[in-house]
Amino acid sequence: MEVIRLVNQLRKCEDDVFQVWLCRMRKAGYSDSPGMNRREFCKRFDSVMSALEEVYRSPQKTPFARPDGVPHIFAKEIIEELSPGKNGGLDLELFLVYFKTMISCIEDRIPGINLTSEQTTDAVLKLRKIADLTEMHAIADWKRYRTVESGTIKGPPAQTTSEKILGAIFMSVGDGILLVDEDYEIVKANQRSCEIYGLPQQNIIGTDIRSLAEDTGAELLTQYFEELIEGQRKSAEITCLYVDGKSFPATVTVTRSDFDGKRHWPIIVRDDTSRKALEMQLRQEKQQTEEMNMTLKTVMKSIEQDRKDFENRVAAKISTSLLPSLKKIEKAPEANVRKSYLALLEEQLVSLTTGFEKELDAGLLKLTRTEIEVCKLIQAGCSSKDICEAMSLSFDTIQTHRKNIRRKLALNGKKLNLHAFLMNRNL
Amino acid sequence: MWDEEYDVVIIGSGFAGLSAAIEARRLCSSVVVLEKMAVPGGNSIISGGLFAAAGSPLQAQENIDDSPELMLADMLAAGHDFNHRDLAGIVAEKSAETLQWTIDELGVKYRPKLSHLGGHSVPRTYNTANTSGSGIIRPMLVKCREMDIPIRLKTFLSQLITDESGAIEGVAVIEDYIFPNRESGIGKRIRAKRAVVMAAGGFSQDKKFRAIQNPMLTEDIECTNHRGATAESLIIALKAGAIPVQLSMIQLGPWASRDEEGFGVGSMFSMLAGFPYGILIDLRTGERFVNEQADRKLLVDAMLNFDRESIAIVDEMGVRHASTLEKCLKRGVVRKFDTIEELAIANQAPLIPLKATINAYNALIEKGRDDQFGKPLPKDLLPLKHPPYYSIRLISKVHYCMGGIQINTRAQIIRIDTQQPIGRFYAAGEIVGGIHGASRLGSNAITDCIVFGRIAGGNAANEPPRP
Repeated sequence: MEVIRLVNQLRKCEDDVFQVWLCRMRKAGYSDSPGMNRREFCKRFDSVMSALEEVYRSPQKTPFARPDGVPHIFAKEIIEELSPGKNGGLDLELFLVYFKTMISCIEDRIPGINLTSEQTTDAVLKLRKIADLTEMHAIADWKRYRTVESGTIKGPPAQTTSEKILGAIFMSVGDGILLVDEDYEIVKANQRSCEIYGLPQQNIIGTDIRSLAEDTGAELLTQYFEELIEGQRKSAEITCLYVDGKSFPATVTVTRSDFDGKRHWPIIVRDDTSRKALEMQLRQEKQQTEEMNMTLKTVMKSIEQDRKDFENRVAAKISTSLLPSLKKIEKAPEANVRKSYLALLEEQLVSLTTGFEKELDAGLLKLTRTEIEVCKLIQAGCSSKDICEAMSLSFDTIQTHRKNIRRKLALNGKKLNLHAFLMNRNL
Repeated sequence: MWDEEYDVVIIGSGFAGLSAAIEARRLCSSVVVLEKMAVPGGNSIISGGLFAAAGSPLQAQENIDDSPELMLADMLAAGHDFNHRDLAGIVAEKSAETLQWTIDELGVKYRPKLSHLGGHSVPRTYNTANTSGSGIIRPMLVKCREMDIPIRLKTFLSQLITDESGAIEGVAVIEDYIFPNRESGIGKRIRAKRAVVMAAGGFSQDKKFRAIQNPMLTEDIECTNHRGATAESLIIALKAGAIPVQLSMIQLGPWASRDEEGFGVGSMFSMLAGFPYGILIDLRTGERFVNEQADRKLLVDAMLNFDRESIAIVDEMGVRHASTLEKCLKRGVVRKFDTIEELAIANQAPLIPLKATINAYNALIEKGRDDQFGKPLPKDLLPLKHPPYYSIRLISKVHYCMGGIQINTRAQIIRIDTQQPIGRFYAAGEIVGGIHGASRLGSNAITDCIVFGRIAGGNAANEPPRP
């Protein structure tokens, strides 16, 4: 009778035991550990209670471990629960803390039940034996099944170095990388993609990928999402939108990779603004060159035209003025008349050169070939001494030539230096 | 000596910086925004996109009686009167017109329903249509592009350059900066013909600096901010003579999820559904312990007391207010259960006390009694009895720096030795201290940033240009 009462009483205060246990676990720093919820706790609590009942009801069995193979009693359900693949994230350390705390919480309750002190001691001892045997089994099983596994499982497993490297590469690649899920929402984005769209991580995650492109681009992306089979890759140039609404050209490469039973689309985005700008610049430069060519051709043509015009003018002048004068000189009997025609001819020849950069001077025509030679040297800035050496003539001869030149050019008595006079003359 | 020259140079591309840029660009010909990170928007773009305004069109529509005075009173109550009252007053005063500006000038889309956030006397919070600060930042970035305001990314402020009179003349920056590598990039000097605006944000992610200000905020306390929320620019402003104000007042967010990093999607779930329409319980007792609609400081203090392990529970009716629900469920931040029993088991909560808590709470609502913790029980609040039930595991995370540098009502930064404004030097946003006192009310930050961003930008652009 006492037995039933004991177990029933204990079962009744299950709730309180759970609260106390939870508190103690948290104080011990196990607040976020797996299996620490009420349901799990109740199952284990029940298992212990059933074992306790059994101990009282079957006195032939014993909670003591005996070498003679007599079955002994322990919390079977708990041990079953701990079999491989079912341990629900518990490791041995956590299990022991969990279980020992639970037993001690139950034990604390026993004195509160109205029993004789003998009965109380008996109950506590029986409970402890069950606990010891359960632990023994648990540890034995653990060693049997889990010799390979070691280390504790607490919280998310630490990142391995290769995962860290992968993460670092993902974040730092020069092209934008986005991962899109079945809702077309971005679930992962690297730093470059944030910069491309002008959105921080917090904003770009959860954004509908279609809102980052102009309509046709968005449609194309949707089409790709529907069409692509796993592992396939497609790329296209589309127009994307920066955070301030400015559009920019981009190349997107969409692939499909399925995991967690769902379709996902990794997208590589490359901002083509600078490439397009370079292309545009190249096109413009090419066009400019072509225009320049055209202009040059036109200029060449007009120069040719000018030359022809000039030739025509000279030819016309020769036929209308010079040749008739020559004929007249030929026919003129008088020396005086011939002389006047010669002067006229001279004038006409000079007039032919009007409009030239360096006009002919009538005086220059009177010079002899040697005198012109001397003039050229003077023009080049040579001294008389230089000239006599250059022409292998005596200094005096050169001086004579200079005197004659000045006379013929009507420079006698003028304060003009021969070099200065010749500067702009065409020789 | 200078590599470049702009009328106004703005440090930071969040709400404050972009508002300043847009306002300045309307008044002068060249504005540049410098951002040290590789993406624009700072912490603003990942924020919840909540905008508090007193006297808004939606309030009129819902017959909610509100005024700037009431909003200011709420700010002072939450801030324990540590607030610089003149600055807080401007935020409340200009809240409604600034909200309107975001709608008219930027084309920001808001949900057609107000939210009632903890510590506010009345519902006055607008939600962006996408439940994110990006709902405001994106239109701002579009506007900047249209107005020809360059936003120079990866450009880090390394030094402020002053002229002989002590006024700010320009900035030394590092271009191609790779945060947080101080050895990266190339130096450059940019001249500000009119002024420099500091809109560099808070330092919640600066674990060393925040621990100096408040040693209780140890390195292992998580943070809702983006990783660029560090103190470099604040320190540069202090070096230039700015006055530090209440730097130790650093707010933790009570609504963040234990099951995701940063601000995530869970924070908005708690803010919009879990706290107003659900209950907050301690897992170890199954009992409520605080007014779920208290301001953040009260909530966090209550949650951290006695090492409480808090979850928020809300039912099918309440969850309708949570615009991030789907994402929360998808990421496992919020879990859904058909019964309270299942919820209790999964969260390892004691079932009987939890049921008692829910029954008592439902009785309050049904019988219209006052809550012992003082939770406001508006008429649309329903008892928690419509399955399925949802739970979110909570942990307090560092969220906002109330402290910063001192400005006057014109957003000019004040010099510590003379108490006079530093010439051609403005600030706006989280880098400014004193506006929110000991605790900022939820959804007041965006209001503050945009109100003072516009003031700073406008005044900066109105400075006479240097020759």
